[in-house]
This record gives sequence, C-alpha cells and structure tokens, in this order.
Amino acid sequence: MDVYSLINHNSPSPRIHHSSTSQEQVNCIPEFSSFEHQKENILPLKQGRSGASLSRVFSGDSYSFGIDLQAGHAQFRAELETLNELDDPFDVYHRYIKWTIENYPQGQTPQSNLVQLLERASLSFINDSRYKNDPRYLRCWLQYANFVGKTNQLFDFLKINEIGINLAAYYEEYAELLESMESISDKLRLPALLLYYYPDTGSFSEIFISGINQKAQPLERLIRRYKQFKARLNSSRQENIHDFEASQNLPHNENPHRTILGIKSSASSTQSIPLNVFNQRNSTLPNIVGSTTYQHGHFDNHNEKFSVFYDPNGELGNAALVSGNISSSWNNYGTEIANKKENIRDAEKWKGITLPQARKPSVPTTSKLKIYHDELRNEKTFVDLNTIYVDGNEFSFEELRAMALRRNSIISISRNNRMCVDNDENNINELITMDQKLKDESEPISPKKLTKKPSPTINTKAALADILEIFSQPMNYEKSDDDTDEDDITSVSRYDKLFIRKTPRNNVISDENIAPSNYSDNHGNFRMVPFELLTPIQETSREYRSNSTSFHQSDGFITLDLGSVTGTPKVKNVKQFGESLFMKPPLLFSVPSNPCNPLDTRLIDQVLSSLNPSLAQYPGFYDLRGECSNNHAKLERIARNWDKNCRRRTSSAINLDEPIRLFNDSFLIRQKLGEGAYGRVYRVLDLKFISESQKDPRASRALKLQMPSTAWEFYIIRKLHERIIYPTIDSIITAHSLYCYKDESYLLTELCSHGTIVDAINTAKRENSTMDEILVIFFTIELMKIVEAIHEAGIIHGDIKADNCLLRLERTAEWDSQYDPSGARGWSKKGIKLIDFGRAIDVTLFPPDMKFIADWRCDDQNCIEMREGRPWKWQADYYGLAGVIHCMLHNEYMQITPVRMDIDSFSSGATISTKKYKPIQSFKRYWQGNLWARLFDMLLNPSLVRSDGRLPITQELNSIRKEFEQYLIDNCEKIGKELKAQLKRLEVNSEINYHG
Amino acid sequence: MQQFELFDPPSDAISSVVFSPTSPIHLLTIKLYNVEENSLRGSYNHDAPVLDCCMSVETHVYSGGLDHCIKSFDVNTHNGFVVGSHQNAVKCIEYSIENNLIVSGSWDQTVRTWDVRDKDSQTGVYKMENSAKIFAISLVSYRLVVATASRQFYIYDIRNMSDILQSRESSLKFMTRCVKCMPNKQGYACSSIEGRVAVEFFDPSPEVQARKYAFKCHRKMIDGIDTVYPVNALAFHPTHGTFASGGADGVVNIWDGFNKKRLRQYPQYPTSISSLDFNKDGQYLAIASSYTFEEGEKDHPPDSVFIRPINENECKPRHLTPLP
Repeated sequence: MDVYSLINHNSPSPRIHHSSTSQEQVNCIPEFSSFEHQKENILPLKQGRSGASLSRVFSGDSYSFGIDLQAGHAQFRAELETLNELDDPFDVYHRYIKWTIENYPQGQTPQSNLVQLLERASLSFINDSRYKNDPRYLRCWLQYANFVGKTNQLFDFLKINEIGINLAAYYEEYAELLESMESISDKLRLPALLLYYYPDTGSFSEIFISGINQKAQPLERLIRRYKQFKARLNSSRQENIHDFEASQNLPHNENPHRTILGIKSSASSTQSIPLNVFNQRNSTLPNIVGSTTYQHGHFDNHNEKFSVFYDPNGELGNAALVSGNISSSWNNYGTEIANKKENIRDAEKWKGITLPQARKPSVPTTSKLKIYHDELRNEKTFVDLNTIYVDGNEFSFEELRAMALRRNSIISISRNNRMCVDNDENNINELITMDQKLKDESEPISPKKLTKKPSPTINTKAALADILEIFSQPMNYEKSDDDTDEDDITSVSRYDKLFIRKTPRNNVISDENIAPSNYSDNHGNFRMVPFELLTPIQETSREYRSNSTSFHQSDGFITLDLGSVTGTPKVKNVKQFGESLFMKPPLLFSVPSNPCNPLDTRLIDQVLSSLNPSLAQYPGFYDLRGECSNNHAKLERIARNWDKNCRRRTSSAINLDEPIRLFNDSFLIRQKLGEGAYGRVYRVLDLKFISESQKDPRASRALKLQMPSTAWEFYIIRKLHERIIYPTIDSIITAHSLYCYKDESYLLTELCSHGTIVDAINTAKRENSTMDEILVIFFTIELMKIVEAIHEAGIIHGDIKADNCLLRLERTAEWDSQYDPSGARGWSKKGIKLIDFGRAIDVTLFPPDMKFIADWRCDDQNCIEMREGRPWKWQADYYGLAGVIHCMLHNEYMQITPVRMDIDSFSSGATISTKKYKPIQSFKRYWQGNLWARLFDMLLNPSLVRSDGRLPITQELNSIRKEFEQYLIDNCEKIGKELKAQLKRLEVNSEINYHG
Repeated sequence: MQQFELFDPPSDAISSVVFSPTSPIHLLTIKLYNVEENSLRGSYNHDAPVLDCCMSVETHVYSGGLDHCIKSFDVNTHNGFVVGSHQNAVKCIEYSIENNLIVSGSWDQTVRTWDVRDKDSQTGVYKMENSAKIFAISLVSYRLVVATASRQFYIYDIRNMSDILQSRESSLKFMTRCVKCMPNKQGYACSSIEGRVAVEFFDPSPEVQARKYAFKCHRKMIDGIDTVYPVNALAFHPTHGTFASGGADGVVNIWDGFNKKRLRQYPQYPTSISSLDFNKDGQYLAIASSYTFEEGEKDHPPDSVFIRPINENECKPRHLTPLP
C-alpha cells in the first residue's frame, strides 16, 4: 500500500462528506486537491484528521498561517503560565495538544514541539490524583509513548503511579502492545531475547483479566476486546505454541548470573558483571574518567562487539533496566532526551584529541610477496663519455685520434723549428738555409708535387716543407689585395698578406724591446723567428679546429698551425679578407691564438707599438711615457671640492684655480662627470681658450683619466675618425689629445651637455612613463647607424650600453619638423654620441675569422657568447645595441630567454630545432611590434640571420633601419607623436648647465 | 692449426682488416698479406691515416682516410690512383661485387658511390638527412645500411640511392661503433660504445620487427664495478650466419644470433679489438688487436693482427635452426 492510498484511506474527508447534507456544508467541503500535494507530510492518526483543517494548513497563505500559529502558541503559553490558578489545569494542555496536532499534520517538527509538549503535559501531573483516571491524561501519555516508544515499562510505570488503571484504554493498549510484540517475536524467532526483555509476554491475557478485575471503565468494551483477543489468539498461536514452549527452556534461564549488557570477565565465564550498576562501578571500572561518556573497553578484549553505554552520573533508568526491581517509589519516567542520552555526545575539548580510527585489520604474520627488482648494477662505461659527446656533437674514436694526430704533428713541428732556429738570427737568409736544411732531412718530395696536390698529407715533414716553400717564395706584395682568383701557385700570395713580417715597405723595428719577439711558452725559452709570426689560417675541417683549441690556449701564442696548411687551400677566406674595407698595411705583431682575449695588455702593447705610422705621429698624441704624472689625487681633490651645483666652495683651502699642467697645456679641473673601473672623467676648462674677459665655449672639455696608462682608446677613436665619414662621424666622440704618461693617461675629448640615454630614461621614469616610442625609434636609428658605421670601419665597440651613449642635441638654426634620415634640415645635429672605446677591438688587425674571448666578469648585459664563455665577435655590439633599445623601451635592463625554433632545413627538408633568444619583456600593443620583434630577433640571434651564419650582418641591419626610418618619416608629424617637439623637450630637460 | 700472428704487422694503429671477397687468402690492412704463407704480398702508401679499406679482387685495394681521398691500388702492378675525394675524412668504404661499385661514407655527412673502373668516377653523392657524420656502413647484396652520428640508421637500396628505404633510430642508447649486415640479407647487427650489440631485421612487418633484440656484452667486473667496453668490431660468419664481436676489452666473442647464445669466447688479446673479418669461406677469422683510442693518448701494446683458423663446428649454431 503506497503512501497515497494510505492517506486517502485515513482521510477524514469522506466522513465529513457523509455527515453533511446541507448545501452550505457541501460548499465548505474542502477539495482534496487543496492538500494533495502535501499528503506525504501528513501524519496519519487513528481517529483521522479534519479535512478542513488540513486544507487550511496546506492551501492557505503560508506566511499568514505562520503568523496565526505564532499567535496560537503565544496564547497557549500565556494560559500555561496561569496554570496553577485553574480548576482544570490539564485542560489547557489538552487543548494545546489538540491544537498542535491539528495544525501540524506533520507531527513532531521543530516548530510544533509536539513531543516536548506531550512530555511536559504527561510529566507534570504524575502525582496529581485528580487526573489519575482521567482519560484525557492517559491519552496524553499514550500519545507521548507513540513518539518515545511504547514499551511495557511505560505501562509498568503507569501502573505503579496508578495512572489510568481504572480505564479500559490502559488495558487495551497494553494488551495490544504485548500482542504486537508476540507477533514480532514469532516473526523474528528470537523469543529468548524478547522474553528476557519482556518477561510478562507469555501471560498478557492476564492484563485483560486484571483490567476486568479492576472494573476499568468502560468495562463492556474491555470485555468485548478481551473476547476478540482470545479468539484471535487461539487461531494464530495454535501453530506456534510448541516453538513458544520450547523457547522457554533455553539455557539462559539456567544462568541467572548473566546480565543483560553486562561484561563477562572471561570467555569461559558463565557470569557477567552488569556495567550500568552504579554501585559497582568504582570497583569494576577503576579507570573511568568522570566526564567521559563513551568508554571503550578497559578490558581491551578483542571479542568485544560494541561498547556499552555508561552514564557516570546516571541515576535515571538504572532501576528500569533491572526488571525485577520495580518499586513504588518509581515516579519519574524520564524525559525523552534522558531516555536517549547515549546518543548525545558530551561537549569536550577538541584540542589534542585523536579521532578514534577504525581498528586495523590484523596483519597476517606471513611475509609479503616481494616484488622482483632488477639488481642495480654498478656500471661504468670504459670510455669517458665526455670526450665522445662534446657540446652535443659526437666524436668517434677515429676522429679523436685524428685530432690528436694533428695536434702531435703541430707540436712536433714547432719543436723542430725551434731546435733548428735556436742558433739562428732573425734573418731571412738564414731562414732559407734552414728551410733547405729541413728539406734535406725530410723525405724527398718535390715541392712542385706538393703545391699541385690538392690534399697534402699529414706527414709532418712534408707539410712543413710545404710551408717553408710558401715562405721562401719571393714575396709579391703588389698583388696582395685583389688577385684572389688565381690557382694554386697564387694561393701563396694569400700568405703574403698575413705573413707580413719582412716587408720591404715596412720599417722593420729591430729594437727588441718593441718587437714582440721575446716570448716564452710551455716549451721553454725560445726566441721567435720570422716564420713564427704566421697567422693561423682557418680552413680545414671544423672538427679539428674546434678541438685543438686546448693546444692553442695552453700555448698562448701559437707559432705555427700546421693543421691549417695541410688542407686544401680555399680562396674564400682570402676573399673575405680582401673585402675588408680598410686593409691595413702590414703590422708587426704576432697574431695570437684564436680565440684570444682582445684586451690582453700584451697584445695591445704590441699592436700599438707596431703601428705604422707610429702612434707618436698621430696629432694630439703626447708621448710622455718617460715620466710620471701622478696627478690623479690632485684632480680628485679639486673635483671633490667643486660643489655638485657647480659652484666653488668658499671655505675650501684648496686653490681651485690652480691649473693642472699636462705637457704644454693647462687645465682647470671642475667637477667629476663619471667614474669607471679604469678611470674617471672630469670636466675641465682648457686655459688655451680662456682669455681674460670671455670664455670660449670650446674651453669646456672632458678629461678622461686612465690608470694604468693606455693609448688604446685614443687609437681606436682616431681610427674611427679616419675611417668613418661625415655625418655619421659626429656620432663618435672626438678625441682632441692624449697625454700619455708612464702611470696615467689623460684623454681630452669634447664635452656633451645633455647627459646620457640613462639620464633620459631616468627623466622619463621620474614621470612614471617611458620614453615615447617615436623618440626611441629615433635613437634606435641613430644607434644602428653608428653600429653599422663602426662595424664597416672594422671596429667593435665591445661595450655598448646606455651609459655610453651621450645625447647629441646641438642647437641648430634650421630644423624642420619633418624627419630626414639623411641628416638634412638640421637633423644631423640631433642624435647620439658614442663614447668609451676602452673595450673596442680593431678587427682589421686580426685574421678575418679571428674570434675573441672575454676575460672579464660577465653579467646579463654581456652577450650570450661572453656569458657562456664561447668565442664571440660582432655579437657583442649587437647584444649591446639590443640592450640599449630595450632600456629605452621598457625602462629596464634587458633579460633574455631562450626559445626553441624549428627551422626548415633547405638541404634535406627536415626540420632542425635551434635555440633562439628573445627578450622576456613583451612589446606594448600599440608599439610597432613587428619592427621591434624583427630587430631584436636579428640582434639577439645574429648568426641565424644568414643561412650560412656569417657575421657581421650590417646589410640586414641597414635594411631594417630603413624600415624604421620610413616609419619615422611617415609618422614624425602626427599629433601626439611630434618628434621634433619631443626632442626639444628632451633637450630642455636634459641640458646640464655648467658653471664656472 | 693454431692461431698465429702475422709477421711484420703495420706499425701504427690498424683501423681495418678485410679479407678479399673473391679469394679467401688475402687480407688487407694497408698492407696485403697472404695469410696461408703468412707473408706480406705488398703494401702501398696512402700518405694519410687510412680509416677503412676494401678489396674488389684479391689484388685490387681501395682505401679511404683522413686525407678525404679514396685511393685505388693494384698490388700486382703497383698502379695506384685517386678514385675521388670527400670533403672530410673517409670513415668507411665498401665494395659491392654485384654492382662493381665502391660505396664510401665520410664525416662530411655524405655517402658517395664510385665506379671502380674509372678514375674520378663519382656516381652519386647522398647527403644524410640528419646532417650527421657517418660512422659505419655495411653492404649486403643491394642493401646498404648507413650508421650515422646521433644514433641514426638509414637503409638504402644501392640501385636507387636517392630514396631512403628506411630510417631508424638505433635501439642502442649510445654512439654506434659498427654495423654489419647478415650474409643471409635479412638484417644487420650493430654495436655501440656501451657494450651492447643489437640485431635488427630489414623487413618492416611487425612480426619480423618483434624478433629484433639487443644484448649486453664486453663487460668486465673491475673492483665490483661492471665496466662496459665499446664494441668496436663485428663480423658475420659467411656460411653459418653466426657473428663475432670484438671489444675494447680485447676479447672476441662468437655469438649465435638465432638462439641468442654465446658460442665461444677467445682468450684475451693484448689490446682492443679494432677490426674483425671472416674470410670468404669462413675458415679464418682475422683479428686486429690495436688500440682504438678509447682512452685518448696513452701507451699501449703493439698493434698486431692475428689469424684464427676456424674449425668446422666452431661457429656453427648449436641447435641448428634452419636459416629463415
């Protein structure tokens, strides 16, 4: 039977319908549909429910009905407060209960509080003799019992307290309860347990009899019920009677010492201890902590099935559980909550509590099945894998041996040479005789054959003979530059250009102090002989080259690299060299190993001392290397006393107007402009240009003091001015003169009064912005022009950074607002001036494929090759340029990150993955992202620009610069982007006004 | 007949020993020996370290070396000429009887084919797809296996070199040392610098490919550490299909590739085994014991070539399975 039919069946509506006849009443009949939707929520009552009230409850406005309920509750509560003054106090409860049941068809809910109400009503009048046999009161008890559980204890309790014992309802209900228990016990076949619990079950007919004896009212109904009961009993119990009787003979009856919910002391014991007996607690449960409600077995018995609730303060219910102990003093049935108290957990501290975990399943003692592991063997490859896998390349043993072979032959040759040469003078005639001598020793191989053979052998003596033969050819200098398209014989002329020691055109410096002839190496002290000054020619296989560097490096200055000569000569390198724009007249210094440290002081000294024309012939060069200057402390003292605000301090004891004399010139020292690792820069006034009354603007100069003394920067700047033409040369600092003392050198340069790019960036930063993109593009173009120009001039700056780029914002009378990349209409006066050539390299002094190694400490602002210790060349400037541009765009130093790029290889169609670098910072959306990305890609990955990886990439830079220039031409006058206005503002903001 | 050492061995490292493909008694290093008489038939000077050599007929020798050149030399007539040149050292060279071709592989990443009848007779240049140096090639009938750096293998048909038949990655984790094709043309064996040999098959079908395997060899316990030596040389027995492997530990093993068993281990040779070759009918095994530079520059025992006569059953598979 489903819920629907149940309710329908119990629904009072039909009854109402039958009893009402008038039309009026018919109209009042509530529609079933009005509460049908809530039928699951209606608690069925034996006597049924009023359809009208149900309809009212469920169909009305729930809000207003809620208010009605509140009012009803309030009214009854008010009545309850005056309970003691009423004649029939229970009547209030009776009505309240009735009202609640009617208005809360759901039964017990938190809102109705029906159970609490019944409980309160029942317990209040236990000892009130007026209501002992009041049917309403008994009904109240029985209703209460419906909620808290109807047990025979209840009837025991009522009987002891003489409630309802004269009422037939008591006996009927009691008998009904027992009868239902009987049927349950039949069904469950658990008579033993139930008989324990309900010892009177067997004799429930006695209940009727005692009721009849008591003359409980209405007696007739009771008698009728009893008869019905007996008839029912006879029919239903007939078949079960034997089971029932048998069940009464169960062994537990013979064990009176076993107690329900007791604990046995041992498994074999026939006695158990009642746990809940208060007076036994202290002796049997010594470990119990007072406030703890739950006690897990202190017996620690694994067979314990469940823990027995133990109420340490429990005075309630003890008697009830021990069923024989009913006494007349039992007048407290206990509240609903008290009867369920084992379900309520005491409040306790949570801190430090370990939650009880499920008991671990017992672990079988047999050992677990082990998983088989392959024995880890201590293995070692016999071969040193590091020698085989070098930088991602594999080298087979044969290749390694070939390299070693090559190295050995080189060493043996240089030894040979030295031995032979040791007793020789620096004399070309001697060389030829020695050459002959060596030839005699070697196998008879005709020189002719050797020159014709495209692949000379690795046989060392033959190869040496080859070299010497080349060397002993009449040197034909006139041919040196252009004739590259000749065959084998003319490949000799290639050597002419490189092996340039004994040239008739050159002034041979015989002074041994200047000539770089005194070098010792690992092999002992040997004086260099002419042919030791040969250049390594890089043309054999890369493998040999890259792996013989250890030799090169250990030797410092390699004397003769035979390996390079044995291979097939190629004309390509010669061409490259010939391309070099500024083919210098041969220099007299020994070419270092490749790669070399370009700032090696020995190397620089050599280069400078072997210049032709010599440095001393350069205008503005004052060679004072014979004497010490020792002026740096004085300079520093004066500069320090010159106020930051460019005003003299009156209190100073130092005479600020005391001129510093450098050679024949005198300077007044003003403030310090900058300081680096190797020197300081001061603003000075050249007294030459200061007359009594007026000051020539040319008087203001920058004086760069360098310790130790060096002429290198002066040389580079002069070379640049030789090689670069107007107007780009304006972008290179001008060196007026160099006073080169033994201990210090003073480089006098022009003074720029607009600060550096760093200052411009900082100005923008102070305004919480960056330089405007149009301005950055302008300076980028300027910088690219400079880099292209110096690279074409064969100079690597080596230290391009924002601090080394001075703003060149000269005043000009005519200045058009339309940008002109050619420099016309005043634009040539604006730009950048590159300074600090202290790290510059003149690559024309070296063989074309010379690369360099940095020996200084590298950081993020140095190019990737430097940081990774790899040889580099033009990359240094490209990276530096990218760094400056990045600084201008983002106000931050550039950080780069490698990205993997897949490139389609043209030869095989396969894709090759290469590493590329790009800046971490991304470009702003409104910038010329495409242009910038391409520029940075080019500058950071210069060797990937061309398919053959050749550097420099000046042409490619030039073409992208043209694009930038076009952008500037198109956009320089747009509103908000006016380049001229921006430059003007920068000019004003950055101008430093020097006083004094 | 006992194993014997050749008199007058080459004075420098022996990179390769090869028996003549047509006559069973001639062996080539740079020098040509008659092994039955233990006599030197002749020698010629390549003028550069030779990395590999091969013979077409018993007196005609080809060699390739560090000078990038392939040279041809007739021992009888003492006529020699340069066949051609690579752009880098010639690492390996093979002669194909069927096609009368020389196939050479070089560190310049190319395989080139040459017509031996002609001077300067290059018939094809084939650049490796992965632009890697070629470490070993092996030829059987029309099948050419090229092993390159980066553990790559390419299989070609010598008649149509422009197409790569198969491209495979080595089943070995380290650099390939040697590759040799099976005489039954079914597959090849390759060895790595890390003591392993792999046996692979040409047929790309999954059933056949499932048969490929690799095994460890040329290992020695030294102070509790399992030291793994490079396997420098492999040689297949021409009739039985078993193969010999030679490692840098100086040991030569004979393997039965069908049953995955080791048949023999010969007593240790003075130094690394640099090259191995069976003669045409499998009666001799030439063993070049010559330091292979696996430890760089060091003093090492003198280089020598041993000729080991092979008994009838010495290299036979134990449980003779019919050749597939």
